Amino acid sequence: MIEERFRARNILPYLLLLLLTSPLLVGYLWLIIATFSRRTFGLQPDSLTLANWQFLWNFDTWQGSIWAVTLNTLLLAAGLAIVVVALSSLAGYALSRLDFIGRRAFMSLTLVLHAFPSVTLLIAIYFVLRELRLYNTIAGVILVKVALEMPLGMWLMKGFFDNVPWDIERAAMVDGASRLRIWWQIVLPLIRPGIAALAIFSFISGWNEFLIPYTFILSRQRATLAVYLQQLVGDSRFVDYGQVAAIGLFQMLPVLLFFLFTQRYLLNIYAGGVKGGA
Amino acid sequence: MYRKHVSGLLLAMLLLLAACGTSGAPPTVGGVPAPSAAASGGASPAASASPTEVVPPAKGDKSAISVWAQANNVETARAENIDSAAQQLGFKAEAIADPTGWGDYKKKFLLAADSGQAPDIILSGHEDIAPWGQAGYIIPLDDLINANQETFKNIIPELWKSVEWNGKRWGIPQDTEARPLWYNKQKLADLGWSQQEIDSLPDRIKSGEFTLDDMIATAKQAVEKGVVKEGHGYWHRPTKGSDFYQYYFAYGGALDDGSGKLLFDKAAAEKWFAFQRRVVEEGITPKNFIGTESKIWHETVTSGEVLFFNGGVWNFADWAKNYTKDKGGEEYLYGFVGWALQPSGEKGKPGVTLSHPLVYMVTSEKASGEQQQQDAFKAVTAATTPELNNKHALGSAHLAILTTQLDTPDYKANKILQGTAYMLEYTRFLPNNADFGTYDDIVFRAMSAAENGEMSPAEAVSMVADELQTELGDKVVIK
Amino acid sequence: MAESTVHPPSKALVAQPTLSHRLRASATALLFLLPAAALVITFFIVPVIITLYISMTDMSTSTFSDPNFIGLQNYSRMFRSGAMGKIVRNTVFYVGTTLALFNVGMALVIALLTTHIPRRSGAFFRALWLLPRITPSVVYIMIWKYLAADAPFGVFNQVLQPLGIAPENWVLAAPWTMVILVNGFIGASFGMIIFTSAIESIPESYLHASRVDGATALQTIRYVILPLLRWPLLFVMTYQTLSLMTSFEQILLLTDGGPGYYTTETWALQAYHRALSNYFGNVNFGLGAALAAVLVLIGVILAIVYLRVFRFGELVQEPKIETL
Repeated sequence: MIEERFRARNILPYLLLLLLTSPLLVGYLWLIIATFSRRTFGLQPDSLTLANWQFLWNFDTWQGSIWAVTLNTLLLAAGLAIVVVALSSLAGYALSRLDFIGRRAFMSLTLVLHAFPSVTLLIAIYFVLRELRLYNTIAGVILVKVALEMPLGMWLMKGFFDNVPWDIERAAMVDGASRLRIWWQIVLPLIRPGIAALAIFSFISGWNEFLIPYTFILSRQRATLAVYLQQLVGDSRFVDYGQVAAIGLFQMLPVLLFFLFTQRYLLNIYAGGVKGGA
Repeated sequence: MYRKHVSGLLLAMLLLLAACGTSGAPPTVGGVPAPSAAASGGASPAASASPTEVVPPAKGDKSAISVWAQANNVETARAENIDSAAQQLGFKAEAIADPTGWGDYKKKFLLAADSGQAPDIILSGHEDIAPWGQAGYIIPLDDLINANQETFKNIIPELWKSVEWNGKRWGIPQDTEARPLWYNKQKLADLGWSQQEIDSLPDRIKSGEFTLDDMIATAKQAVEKGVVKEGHGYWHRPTKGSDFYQYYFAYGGALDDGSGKLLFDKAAAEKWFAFQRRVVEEGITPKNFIGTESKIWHETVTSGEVLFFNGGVWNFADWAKNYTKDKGGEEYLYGFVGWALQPSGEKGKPGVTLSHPLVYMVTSEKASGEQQQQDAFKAVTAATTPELNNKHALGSAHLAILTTQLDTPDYKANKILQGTAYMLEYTRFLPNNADFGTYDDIVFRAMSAAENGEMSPAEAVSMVADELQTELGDKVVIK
Repeated sequence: MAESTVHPPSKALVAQPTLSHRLRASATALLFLLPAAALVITFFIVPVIITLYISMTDMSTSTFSDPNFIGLQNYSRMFRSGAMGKIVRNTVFYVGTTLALFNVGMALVIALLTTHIPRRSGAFFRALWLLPRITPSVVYIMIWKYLAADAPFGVFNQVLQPLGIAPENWVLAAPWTMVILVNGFIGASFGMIIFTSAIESIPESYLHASRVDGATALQTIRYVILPLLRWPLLFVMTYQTLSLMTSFEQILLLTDGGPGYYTTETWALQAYHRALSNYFGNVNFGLGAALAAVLVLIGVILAIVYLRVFRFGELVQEPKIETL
């Protein structure tokens, strides 16, 4: 978009970018080095070891197999992503296409909700879960998490629906198709990138969530990776940073890979999101 | 009364949910694709409105004795001991060792207890006795203790003090510890101390001959002579924790006014805060020290670079296993590490230490939803043996809780536990007071500000007094 | 996308709705909105109301199951507290500085730079800036702590020592700088992505025209690109002000509000400290709820002011099909 000679003329942008990004480059380099060493002095490891990665095959008696924990996390994150996408795309469609009473108020509300410090609502959320008999259930955890993701999700999906030309839809309506059918068969397939983006975003959010599953689920068979990781750094006196780094990297890897292959879509999320306000 | 309000609110919402259930719109809510959703009874919110669909909490078998213990990976005996004791008794048991961290652990217990899904036995710090006892989540144990004198007469008498609240005993001590002043024998020798002087240091501290002033002077000398680097003469605990109150005690302070109210002694606190500031000004502690990463703290003191440092006896096991294994572990540490009480602030007064016993508490029916308090107590009793407790004490360098444990060959052979056992005679505890957490938060912030030079010790003290007054009103005595 | 970014849709295109149409639309909308709305009401709005109620009780660990109503005492206690002034100043400083330097400032710089260089390289740098967002916060904070750690462990000291700067633990020596860096490096990516997509959607002809007129790169940015980024800038500012105001996890893990006397304690962190965690166990939920409630109130007021001032309402596009 910006012409060849325009940028080839100077390498200044590269230098600037490298300089600005250097803390991240160095930081993540340190993280990788730390996972293979007992202690580090700056970026120098004192000796290289695989001991920090033992958790992959040597299971802790109390925390159990990392793979079981990973599976739990996968199911939680995937469950969250599916529900968030389903409900957000339903609501987003209405916000984008229907001139219903209270639409503006609802739109403003979704933004205002963002001003709520969700973590400090934890105790109040507990009372709701208790009354609904959802305390100490996975369903409860997912529903809470979904609700917290919902304002952003609705806003984003609305943005994507706004981008869909409505001529096709109008034709279908003239033919007498119901709204629900139009949504499902015609419009939804057109915003696949948006769905992918929101799904990824929700997945990551569920994948890294600690406080809600830890606080609201009592059985430890249902631990997630974030809980597993947190247990290594609590007030536990034997914090082994090499191991924390390794497990942290392990937790990041799937998301990272996922992200690399789908970066295009993730970038879309913000494109869609800003649409309403752009 | 409170429940009513919540229920009223929720009723309106349930109507909404019911409506949404019949509309058939949200199949995705009903079919939450969670693996154990079905097992745990949480289908859709609409379904949960009818109580028949509710499945009991996933706490395992009804008759199993369940226990939670906050414990990291070398302290798992806290939970395992109950587990094996219960099995000996023929009970089913379900034990969880949770290393997540005190704040989250206690919050999780609170919610579980409020909803009647708490474990039968909970292990926590003795300071939780007051709030949990007040809330009715745990039960007083005096009758049960008296009925099992065979076992409980052997508890080291001093420890009972930590579980007393409201005139009753609410817990069984599980472990305890001392927080010694560690010193580097090698560095003292480099400084020109004779072997006899080094060896007698613990006794001189015990008798009050060697005080905090002497410690500062010695450390300063070591810095000046280049025996240790600037700022490496004295390292206290780097993070928030109860250790700091040892200096308050050392200057004659007390946390409890004797009638069960919290006490803030301004004169003692000012001396304590001045001490924290002085160690920085004299150049024996680095500036900006509070907040230093624990791992870096341990790496530095175990590499022998610091003259005096203050920690807990459990550090020794940690150091041997996690920091100095490649250098020889315990043998390497015994080569240069010595231990003593915290010196007194005043000449002639004995040194002090602080213990923070963790205790087993038995939960009430209200909290656990079960009526097996008797069986739970039996399991705790069966776990209170020299053999089982040694597993914990020796494995994680915590002090014995039973007098009978002190005489076991294993315990006797352990140099560090044997060498610090006498400290329990000089120990103090934190008060069993529900407001101590609030108190501690205010005191810690002001103390760190005094150490960093943000405010003078006198300013910090009056800051604490003001805030305690605002926060706790007549629940605290300011002297 | 490109067109509407630049020209908000004209109202003339939209047919005038009648009441019966709107009622019918509302009935249909209800079907679509109910699941989402029910969840938001159940787990968002109701908890806020409960929190308001808790803030008027003496709820703590010991009175958790049976709190007493005490009216506005928690609020008066909160405002009487000596530390409140400092916490308010901290919050304003933290939100303002992080927003200006990173969430908007750095985001814009990175977006401009990465769209200036070839597409693949740009994507690479943007990916790097997204890393903090997908890193578990415990690990992310650990990275920074070790960058800033005391000699001989820290990386900064290794760089700075040859320059003659005495080694320090930088988290403790310069807590605010570190708090802002740590949060800024996470926060910048949000704006970066939005600005990037907005810049990329600027019609090539605009930039071409600017170059034909002989404008330098900086002039192009100043006179062509920035004016077109007005709405994304406002959106990011609004959204991120609220995000920063309510976020505290990184500060909690990095400095826990210290060192010293409430040095880096912000309002949200204070609410967390009061409402959810206490080292010695007895948590004062009532007071914590009061702190949270005031934060919500400030957030809502800010959100409404933003909506008014920036006429957000106009940006909420009219639905394209409201008839039939």
